[in-house]
Amino acid sequence: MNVLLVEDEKKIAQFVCAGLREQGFAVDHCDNGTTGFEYACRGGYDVIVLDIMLPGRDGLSILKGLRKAGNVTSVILLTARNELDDRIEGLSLGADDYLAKPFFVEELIARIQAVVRRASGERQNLLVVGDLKLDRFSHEATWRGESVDLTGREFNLIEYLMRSPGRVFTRTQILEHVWGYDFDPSTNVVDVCIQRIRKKIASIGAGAEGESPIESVRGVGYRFRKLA
Amino acid sequence: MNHSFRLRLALFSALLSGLVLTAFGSTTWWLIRGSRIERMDNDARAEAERETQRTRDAAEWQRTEARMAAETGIRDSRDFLLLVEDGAGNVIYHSSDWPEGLDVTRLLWPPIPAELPSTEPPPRLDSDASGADRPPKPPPPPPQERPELAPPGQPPASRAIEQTVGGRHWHIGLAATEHSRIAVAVDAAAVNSDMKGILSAFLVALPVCLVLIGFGGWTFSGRALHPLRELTAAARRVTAEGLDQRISSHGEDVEFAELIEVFNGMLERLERSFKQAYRFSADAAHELKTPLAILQGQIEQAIHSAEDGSTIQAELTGILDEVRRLSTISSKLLLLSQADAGNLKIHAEPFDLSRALRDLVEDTAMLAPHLLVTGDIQPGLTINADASLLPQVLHNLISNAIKYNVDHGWIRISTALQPKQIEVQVANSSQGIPPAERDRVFDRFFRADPTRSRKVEGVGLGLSVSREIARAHGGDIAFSVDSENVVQFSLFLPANLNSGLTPEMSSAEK
Repeated sequence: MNVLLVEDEKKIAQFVCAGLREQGFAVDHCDNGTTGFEYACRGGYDVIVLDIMLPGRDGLSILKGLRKAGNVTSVILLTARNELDDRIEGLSLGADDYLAKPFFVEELIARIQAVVRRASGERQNLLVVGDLKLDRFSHEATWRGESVDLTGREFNLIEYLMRSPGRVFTRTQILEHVWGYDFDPSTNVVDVCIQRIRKKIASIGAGAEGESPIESVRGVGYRFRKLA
Repeated sequence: MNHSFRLRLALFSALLSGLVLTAFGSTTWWLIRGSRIERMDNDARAEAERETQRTRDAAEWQRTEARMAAETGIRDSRDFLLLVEDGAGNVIYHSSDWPEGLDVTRLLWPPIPAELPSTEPPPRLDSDASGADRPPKPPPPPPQERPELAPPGQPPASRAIEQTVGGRHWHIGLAATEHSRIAVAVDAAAVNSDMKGILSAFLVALPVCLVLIGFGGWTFSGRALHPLRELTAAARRVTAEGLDQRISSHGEDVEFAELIEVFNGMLERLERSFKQAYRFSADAAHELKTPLAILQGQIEQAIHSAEDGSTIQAELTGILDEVRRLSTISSKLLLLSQADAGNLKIHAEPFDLSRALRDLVEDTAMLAPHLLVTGDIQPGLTINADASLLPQVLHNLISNAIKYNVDHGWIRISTALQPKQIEVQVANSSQGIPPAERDRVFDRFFRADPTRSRKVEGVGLGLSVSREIARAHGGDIAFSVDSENVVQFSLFLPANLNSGLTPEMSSAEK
């Protein structure tokens, strides 16, 4: 997956690039709008991640220029400034998604994957890790061939964890992805939801308690069991 | 109770004008009446004096009477009397309806002037000395000498008297020469009937005038108070729309122009300081975003690089939570300052409200396992809403319902379809909210629990932000305390007319 990141804040660009590369993406980075637009026009990217406030040419202008030139590469906007106005303008200019600063790199990765999936128009979208199989399109989950009846929140949560088996996700990362932006971080809703998923999978009876696919990491969060 | 200044002004001007008009009218009435009576007396006297110069027979006198009545302006012949006597006091003619009570023998004839009238003024008798008990016997003139001494030019003696007979008040003009005495009597009722006409005209005119003056006062005061109404309207717009309202003082009177200037000046100062205040919080929120983004990103990276389950990873997670808390506060502040500046714009797109509410019921049940959570949500409700803002409103409502609940309490989330809007109701059991605090639940930073205990999370921004967002959607949030122990928040959202969803269809769908 090829990603172009146009972001002038060095430290942000640094951890975003690191996070995306760790995920296996190929990342190009530009720190100003003018070169960013040139890179974007050159093509060959699956996703362009655009900061809105940029020296040279701002993100919205780059987006407008791309769409005008008939370039339909997926664009995700990042911004800190005039959050709502920019979001509205960006979406109306043809941005595919929007992420407000501060954001989690994990969330950006999830958004990039979703945008690319949407763009490729995949209808049958199966996610299989070990014994658990998720159908992203029909929202059906099966555990060792048996159907598990998950609610919307539960499905989204487990899907988020399954994307990176073995990687630990903090409660706030999960909260933000599944529940949205402004949830009180001290809530225990994530733990309650994990309990419910564990119970539902255990109730199928195919696996013992210790075999739950979701592992707790004390004081941090949860991770999906990685296959040995 | 408030009184209308305008109404009072109109009534007061009508009352004052009424008093003035009445005083003026009655004075005029009396003056006119006095002058009319005086003229009547003079007319009667003048007629009498003139006619003493003539000698006519009875038939001629009758015609003369009619002519004289017409000349003095008497319409009713009964109000006019004529008496003609010769010098010796024998009646030559008297009106056919001469009243019995008016004793011709007791009339106070003026004394005949002496032979040299130029040097000897006629003795005057006070008119009030009309005592019928003292019938003066005018000195009988020597008839044998007079005829030749009475050329047509000799002025007769005359006087005016008043006498009341049989309820009628007669003004009598008397004139006498040696060979002829004439009495002309006019009933005061003739004048009174004229005066009655004037009075009734006045009585008709007065209310009309008062109504006109009252109406004029009403209209004029309305025009005069126009700037005041402008001020009121502007103040109302300030409440509704923002502090950028100004009133034009162009063409207003000096007094009002000054008031308007002062008012505008005050608005300007207020607007400036408010702008400063919310620009400050907006700027602060913006400025916080970049460092917060760096902090959050680097902590996230550090957590992933740390060994899973290590102490450092758990510590970093704790820090990350606090960073998230800061972000939440700063984004709420930004939202609020935008709402204050009237900048809260929404990106409306089709939004599956039913699904969001089902998630909400699920969340509520997970967040508050100790409470009985029920949902009654109509399926298929799609509205135009902002997908990032509206969920915050819903979340705020349920987090309030959880925070201010009781042990073993309940929460009920339901929808109600109305013709043009959808009502989302979040009701919960509660310890009750003191009436004094009910009006303040939407105040920023207000919390029902004054101790701000850590047990009840949040910074109290929730409801005020929620209401701003609901209003930006063209809806609103209402709050009611149904009974002592049930609190309900109702979120009203405009129904999406384009979706073609009607209450009938949605119930049929089920």
